[in-house]
Amino acid sequence: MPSGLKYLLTRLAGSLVTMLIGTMVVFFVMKLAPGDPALVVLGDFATPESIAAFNAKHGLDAPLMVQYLNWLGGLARLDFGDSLSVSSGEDIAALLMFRLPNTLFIGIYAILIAVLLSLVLGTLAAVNRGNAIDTGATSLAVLGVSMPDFWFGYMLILGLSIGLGLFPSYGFAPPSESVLGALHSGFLPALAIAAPMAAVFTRTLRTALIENLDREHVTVAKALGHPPRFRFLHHVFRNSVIPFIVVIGLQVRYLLGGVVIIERIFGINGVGSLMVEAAFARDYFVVQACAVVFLAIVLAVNYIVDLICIMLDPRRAR
Amino acid sequence: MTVPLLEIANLNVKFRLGAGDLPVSSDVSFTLDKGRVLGLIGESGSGKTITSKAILRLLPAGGEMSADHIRYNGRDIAALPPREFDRLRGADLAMIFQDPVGSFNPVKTVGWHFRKVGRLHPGGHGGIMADAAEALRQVDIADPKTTLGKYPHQLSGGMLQRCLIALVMFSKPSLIVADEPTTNLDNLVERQIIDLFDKLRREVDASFIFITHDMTIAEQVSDSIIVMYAGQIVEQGPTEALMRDPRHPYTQGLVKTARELEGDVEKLTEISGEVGTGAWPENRCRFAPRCPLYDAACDHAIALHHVKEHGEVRCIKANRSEDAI
Repeated sequence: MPSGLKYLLTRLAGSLVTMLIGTMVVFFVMKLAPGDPALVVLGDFATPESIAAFNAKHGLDAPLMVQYLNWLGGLARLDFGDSLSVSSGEDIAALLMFRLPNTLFIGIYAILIAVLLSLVLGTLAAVNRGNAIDTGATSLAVLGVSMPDFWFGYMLILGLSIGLGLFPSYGFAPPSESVLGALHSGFLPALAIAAPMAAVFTRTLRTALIENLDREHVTVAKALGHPPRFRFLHHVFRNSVIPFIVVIGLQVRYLLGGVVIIERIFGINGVGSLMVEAAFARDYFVVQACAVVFLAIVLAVNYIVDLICIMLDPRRAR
Repeated sequence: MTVPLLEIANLNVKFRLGAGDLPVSSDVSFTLDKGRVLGLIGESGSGKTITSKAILRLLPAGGEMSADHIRYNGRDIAALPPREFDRLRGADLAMIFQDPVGSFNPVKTVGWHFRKVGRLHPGGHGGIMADAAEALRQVDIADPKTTLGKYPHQLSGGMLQRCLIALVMFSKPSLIVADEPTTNLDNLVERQIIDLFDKLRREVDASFIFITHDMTIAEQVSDSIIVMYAGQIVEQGPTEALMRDPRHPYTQGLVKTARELEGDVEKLTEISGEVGTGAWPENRCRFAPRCPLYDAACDHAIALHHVKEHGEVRCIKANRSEDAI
């Protein structure tokens, strides 16, 4: 499919340009933030000489554009520099490599929970359009989007952890140590992030299924003798998967917002909590690195979603 | 005498609405013999599509059908349990729809549609895809292999309608309802598809119900014609007799316009007014508001009555002395 390949390459180039613009925004916004990295490290006893020495060492005395290009060159080599204060002197890349698996685990865990929930609820609602089951599933979805994730996180801790003692209320066993332990200790945070997403997915799937149920080709399939199961799977569900996956891709950016808060609440050593800690410690370089990582995740996920959509819908490959 | 392929007695369709029932087709009865083509003609809202969909139980939600009987090959299928009726679709009864583009799943290739129908109704001779290519050749598609690999959006409406006709006939049904299969196509393509039907009805061992609003098309493709108006049959008979000597004022209007279209006239005759919807008064001919012959004698429910060597007409003014039996 040469037209599809061409589209994917164009789209890849577009993603790289977006990434480049994103790094500019991250870099210059951080420059606008009040404070001075030198003062963070040297503290109140800094002298003009020591500040100058610090800036020279970190290249902070160069013109802004040169600083940006140096930083960008580092990014290309996955060299994010060293941490200033949050974990002084440590290589930021190493810090991220340690934290990133936890964040990815929680994020993917949350998406899986949301997808499973919405597949069940969305299908039930669409098939029972207009009756009590539909109303129930739809109301659950409204509840899901209406609840702030930090509030729902605390409610889960209160109910399932402190109340019933089913899950730990704080702390997270990294998947690198024990996958089962990570699934158990990560369940509540993943569920807290998943709830609002599941609500959006459910509504999207329900709408798509109902729309496709009324399509002419479904009636044609019936007239051709195809049984109900076949019609639902190959004509209704198959076609509804496309908008469903598009919405999953769009929700990833909100998911990352949720991760930052939920990692703090549940004490998970992820990129989200690292970013918050770094912001409090005025560790400019670490905050920048975390933002770039999040940006890369969002762009990568959207690219993969595009890829899947092209495979699922030939009309998109133009 | 052989058993007709399809015998329908008093088919009624109504739609359940919040406020009550809306009748859309009333007391439709007709017979279709094997290998014959029945033209079902009428304007939008006359109930022709709904009647045919009711026979195949493809009514949209809210639609309800009842009939004294619907005999298919002598067997009453009106009260058949859903699961048994499902087995008739495709293999025995099939339907070609108005919109060829919407009739295909847009994310699947044409070949996929044939493969699935082939698996559902096995019985070809050369493998499903070889048979599918042969089926496409029969509807005059020059390059069947390539066409089978295409997605619906890569083909024109005319090509897709040919594919759809081939797909519906792939399972060798004995009754095919074609619901205005050329409405969404431009004139030239319409001509080609009609000629294709004309060819197929001679080649294929099937009966057709051909729904159209175009009298000239009905005349070309069908052996007999039913004219519907406001949910009722107003006239039916052999195509030749009905076209030569239409009895119902509505049919007369349709035939006159069709003849004018064939000739070269400045202004076409128009049947003024439009068909109403919903509750028609029971104590008056339904065509009365538009009828040039209407008078007080028409103020009661008009029944279909037999006209010798012609068929049936629902008009009290259509009787002539020579018709007396």
